[in-house]
Amino acid sequence: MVSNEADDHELVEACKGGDRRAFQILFKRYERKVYAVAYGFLRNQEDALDVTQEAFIKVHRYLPKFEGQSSFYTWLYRIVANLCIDHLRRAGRKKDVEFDDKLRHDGETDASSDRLPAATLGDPSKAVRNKEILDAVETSLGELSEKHRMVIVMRELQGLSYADMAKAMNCSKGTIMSRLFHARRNMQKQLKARLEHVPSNTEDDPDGSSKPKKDKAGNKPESKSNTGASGSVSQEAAS
Amino acid sequence: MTNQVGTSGVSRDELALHFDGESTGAEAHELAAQIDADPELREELAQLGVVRGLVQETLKTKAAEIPQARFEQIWDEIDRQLDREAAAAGPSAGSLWSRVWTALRPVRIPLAAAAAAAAVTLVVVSVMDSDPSDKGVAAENNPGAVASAQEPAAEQEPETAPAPGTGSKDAPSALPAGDRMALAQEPSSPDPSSDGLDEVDDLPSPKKVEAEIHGVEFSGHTGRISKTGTVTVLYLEEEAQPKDTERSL
Repeated sequence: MVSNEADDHELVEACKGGDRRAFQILFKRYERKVYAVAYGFLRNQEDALDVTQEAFIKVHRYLPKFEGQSSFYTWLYRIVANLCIDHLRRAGRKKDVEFDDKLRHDGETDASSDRLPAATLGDPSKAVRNKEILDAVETSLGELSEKHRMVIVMRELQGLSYADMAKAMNCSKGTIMSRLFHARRNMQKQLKARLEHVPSNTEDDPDGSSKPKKDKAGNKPESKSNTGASGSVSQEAAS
Repeated sequence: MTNQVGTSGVSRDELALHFDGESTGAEAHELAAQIDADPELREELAQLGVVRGLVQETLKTKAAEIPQARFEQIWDEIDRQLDREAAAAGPSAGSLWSRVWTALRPVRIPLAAAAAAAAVTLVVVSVMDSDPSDKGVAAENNPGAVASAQEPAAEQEPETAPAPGTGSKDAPSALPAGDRMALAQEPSSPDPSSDGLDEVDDLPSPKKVEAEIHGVEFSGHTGRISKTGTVTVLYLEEEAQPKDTERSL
């Protein structure tokens, strides 16, 4: 009998042998991550829970065919992404207002004007404790076109490669790059518009727990640290 | 060209590739060196990191809001669905038995019905075995069988009481004469007058012989089992609306 601490590979092998408990351990391990992805796509709690259920049933059905060429979670996330895409297609939601990809090379793409407000800098897990920031991010995600939201979720939350995303969305890698570019830019614009008036973490956090460190000259922290931090979060979320 | 970040000569496409881990080899090393040397590139990269971090944390927070009991409920649903799928697939999926079981799926109910009919017939025959008056008719229809059945015990009175509900009064009046006769082959009631068995008395008495099923014909919705010298008709009907079994799912 496999233990709760068994790695994904061991659990998958046990599942293939008919061990229902091993499958339950996998479910418990990924239930919230799968839900988070589904919610990111669908932005509806019940729909996301339905997709979570459907995803695990599908995973169990196709486990015998899973050869382990990719990691289990990558395979699982691909299934979730496909289910969400199917769900959206079935729902026939056509509110896509796709950004014209040509815009990316014109004069309006100056990213420096869309720099995120200070309130969003620092540790993102602390930033989202501020309900206003959390709501702003959620609303901004909702304001994206479905295709843009899909690429954001697939890349930022699931950590899928461009190739996997292209496969899931049935388009070229170039199209994925373009969508991702505009999706990120739109997120930045939306967040900036919503959070400009929000005080930074420093002012919002009297106990100083999320106070950004200043350098000797008293400058704001280099946002380089964000890159590293978010990169590691990405790996954590994906695993 | 504004697609470039500042004066670095690095395009946002290249920066995004680097950020997403899609650039490789020498290109990646060169870009990393440029980023290290250029604060503007670092700032641009940081903005990408902030968006990523906020999206991840927001969705994780939303997921954390769902009560654990809701996920347990989902697991219960999954568990039940897997049970149903396992039942539909039959025992030990993938085995020879499983394949045979699957192949027989369209005829499972008819076969089960035929088996049930055969079982009923055997019960009926075992009851009739105790009736010595079978012998004469059996001799006409199956002399060979009679030759082996000519023992004194066969002449004894039946000891077995008739099975309830098997008398002629249960025979549907719409049945053909032959079929009614078949039903009349059952052992008679201790009180024939009260059962309206006058007609039955005129019919040849069943003989005690070895049961011999000539064949089971089953096509569509009815089946028939023949017995030596008599015809016992059992009407078997499939349910028009099968119960909610794995077969109907």
